[in-house]
Amino acid sequence: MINLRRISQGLFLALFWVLLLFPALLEKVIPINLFFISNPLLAIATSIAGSFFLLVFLAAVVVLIATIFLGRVYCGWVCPLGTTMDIFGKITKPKHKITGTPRRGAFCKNPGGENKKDLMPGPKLQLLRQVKYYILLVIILAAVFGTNIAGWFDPITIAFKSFALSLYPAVDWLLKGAFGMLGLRSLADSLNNIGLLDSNKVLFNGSIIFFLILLGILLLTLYKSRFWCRYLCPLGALLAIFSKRRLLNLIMSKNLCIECYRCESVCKTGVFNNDLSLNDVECIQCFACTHKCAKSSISIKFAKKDETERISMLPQRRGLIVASALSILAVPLLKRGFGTKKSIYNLPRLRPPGAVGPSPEGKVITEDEFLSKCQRCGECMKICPTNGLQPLMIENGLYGMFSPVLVPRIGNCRFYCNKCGQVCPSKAIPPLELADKQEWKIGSAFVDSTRCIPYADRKDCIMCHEFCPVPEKAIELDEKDGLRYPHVVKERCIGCGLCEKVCPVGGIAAIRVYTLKDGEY
Amino acid sequence: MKTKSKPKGEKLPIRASLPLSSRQAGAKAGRREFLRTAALIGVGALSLSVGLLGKSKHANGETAPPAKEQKNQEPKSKVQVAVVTSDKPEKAVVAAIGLMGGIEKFVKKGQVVVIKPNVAWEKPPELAASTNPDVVAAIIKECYRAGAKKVKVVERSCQNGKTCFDICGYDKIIKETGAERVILSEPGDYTETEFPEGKEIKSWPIAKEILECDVLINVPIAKNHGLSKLTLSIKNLMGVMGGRRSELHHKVGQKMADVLTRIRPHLTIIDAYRVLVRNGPTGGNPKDVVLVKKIIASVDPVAADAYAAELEAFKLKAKDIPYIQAAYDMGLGEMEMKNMEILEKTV
Repeated sequence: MINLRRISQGLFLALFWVLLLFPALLEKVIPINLFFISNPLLAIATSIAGSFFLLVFLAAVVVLIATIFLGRVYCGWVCPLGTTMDIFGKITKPKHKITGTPRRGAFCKNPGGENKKDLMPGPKLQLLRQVKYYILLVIILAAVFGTNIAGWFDPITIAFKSFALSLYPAVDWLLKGAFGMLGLRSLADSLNNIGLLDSNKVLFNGSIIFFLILLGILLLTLYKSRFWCRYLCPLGALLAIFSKRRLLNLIMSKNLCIECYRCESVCKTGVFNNDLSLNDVECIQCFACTHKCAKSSISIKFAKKDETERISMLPQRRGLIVASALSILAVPLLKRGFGTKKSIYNLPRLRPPGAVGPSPEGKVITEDEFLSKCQRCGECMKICPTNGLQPLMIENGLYGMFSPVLVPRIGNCRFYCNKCGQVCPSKAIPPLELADKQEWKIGSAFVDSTRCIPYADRKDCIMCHEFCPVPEKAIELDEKDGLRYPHVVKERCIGCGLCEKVCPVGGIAAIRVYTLKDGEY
Repeated sequence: MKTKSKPKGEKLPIRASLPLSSRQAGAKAGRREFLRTAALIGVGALSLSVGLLGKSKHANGETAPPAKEQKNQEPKSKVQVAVVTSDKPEKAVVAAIGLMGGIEKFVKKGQVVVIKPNVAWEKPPELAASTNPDVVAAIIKECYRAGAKKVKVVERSCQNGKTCFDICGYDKIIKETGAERVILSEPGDYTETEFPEGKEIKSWPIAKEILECDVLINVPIAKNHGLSKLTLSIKNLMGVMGGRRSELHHKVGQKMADVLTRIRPHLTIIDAYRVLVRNGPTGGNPKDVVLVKKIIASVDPVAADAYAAELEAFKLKAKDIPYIQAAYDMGLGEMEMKNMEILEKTV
């Protein structure tokens, strides 16, 4: 079983990477956002926050049903972040060498070679397990108030953002630099052709943050294996609650047990306490204990729970009430600065096409509605061919953190592309047809005549006009004294930002795209 | 870097004259040579008359005077421009090359040929923002038939080069014909090049592929352009230039004519099968595309451009196009219709 589990973990991690690196490869077979649509935490939080339900979230329902029967197999067999932690643990920790014959009372001998402290989880560490339930509570409560913050804590989004928005661009950059130095540009080109290296320079706003988050999670595993899963993961917490009455149980035959504590030393999530009680819902069905047990006294099978004492560190009522009150209080603070609508953070930003603005049905989608659906997963930013979609940090306040924003100076919204809408798992960016996307108004461009070259330098430039991709050019030239001065025809401009990107004026461009006031589209 | 490349640039002979003279050694008329001479004399005379003595040193210093004595006796013949009308652009292009004397006249066995199409924009070929890929495919095949060692399709796109080659249908034809795709993207792809005869451009980075090739075939599409009214073969040479190209837009006519003094394609084939008459250079509206179904070819880029500019679809005169006028003024080619011999054909 343990090998089967490892194979499953490997396959799912590989699938995760394939979907990330080669988005076109399995296009017809597997939805590119599989890991997001099958994620119960994201599905629940987004459905509540956006008060809608998407058919694709049925994949998440499948995972939940599987959890009800089988327990947290998702954590142990599927989760790419969990697998990454396991691999990191394997690399960094010396191999367990269990020598000698285990005997009763051997826990003092410490057969796993682990720190003695490790065998005796103190009450404090046990209490720490509650943190993940509190995080889950905060996410759900925030969702009830229309605020979707699941993406900050969800392990899949963390893994995706860390890999796609920080590790991948970094490796890409290093490789391209190395190829360039070695004069192997053709090799880089051929790698590029199979989709391995990006043809653009891909860099993301604040990518070091995502790297540090992943690094932090991995380094914590040095202290306790799968520290994140034990104490912090809200998805784990959700699945733990659902796995409470599972059928696939961990059974310990106490009469066979020689108390060698091998199980304790190999358990990834610290299920075994040294008084032989079990933290039952922590079990991720990894089968490490059954594999290592000296006397085959442990088994994971479809059976009724035995009389072994099973502890679940679900928070008590008092804690829940206090936490609820506090998190409800936090919602308005998070969303609105200090409750004033005109906080400095409420600057409108350019959102991906279809996300904010009047929908074809005539309804205006507001920024708040978009953010309540956006899972902050980073799929749209990864797929954006111009690198123009960037994650917001706290520029728009905490509430907008990690949500996508179009930064035209980095990259425009490509006229012949509607990929962000295709990959968005929660349809916060709706899957627009290409023709509809080409008419979607992200914002509108304005010429800054204090900087624009013909105005300021008395020279012809016309770059914005030349590049304008709209069939009926939205930038017109006025000829005056032999020079051509651009102006924007607001009705035709879709705010794709190509003019702002190519404007040759350094620093802040002389033509810039802004969002329009509500109702002014 | 500049100091390193400068002496190299000075040593280089004027690029186009080399293969031309060798190619035409056995050919009947040294029309190119004659035009060049005329140009140099013109420049020299002009600068003398204006009193810009500094400019005349090029006319005096290099190979111009002996060439003048040799070629001056030859009768002035008209510039040949082939114009082929056809429903099939790939057929038309072969016929046009045939009218110009056949591909063998331009491409010799073992030579490296560079084809410079217009693949600047991320727009499908039907929208006439890029040279028809079928035309380029036909030229590539002709070149290989003539024994070319390698045919390269070289372009510096305005937008992402790889996307442009894909959307414009070039990846497909390059794969089919076995040509080589060269997307100019890095500063290292260019060499700082002197333009001793240039009035506005004295030095500019030019693609190494262009400087090093044996034969350069310029294959632009004729289409509307906001600044220069039309983009044709001379304007298409912008796609071999590095550096900050937005600066070229100021006085674009003279600057592009300056480029032609040094980068002179051996054959110009203008794709006027589908032309874009409004909202250029990017287009996007099928209504702005007019089917003209013509392929225009000439060894004189100015003449080819002038003919294309006066196509009915554009409702323009050749002198309206700033770079045609500037190139004519510099004596780089012919723009008067009456001095052209139009070889028309319908296939």
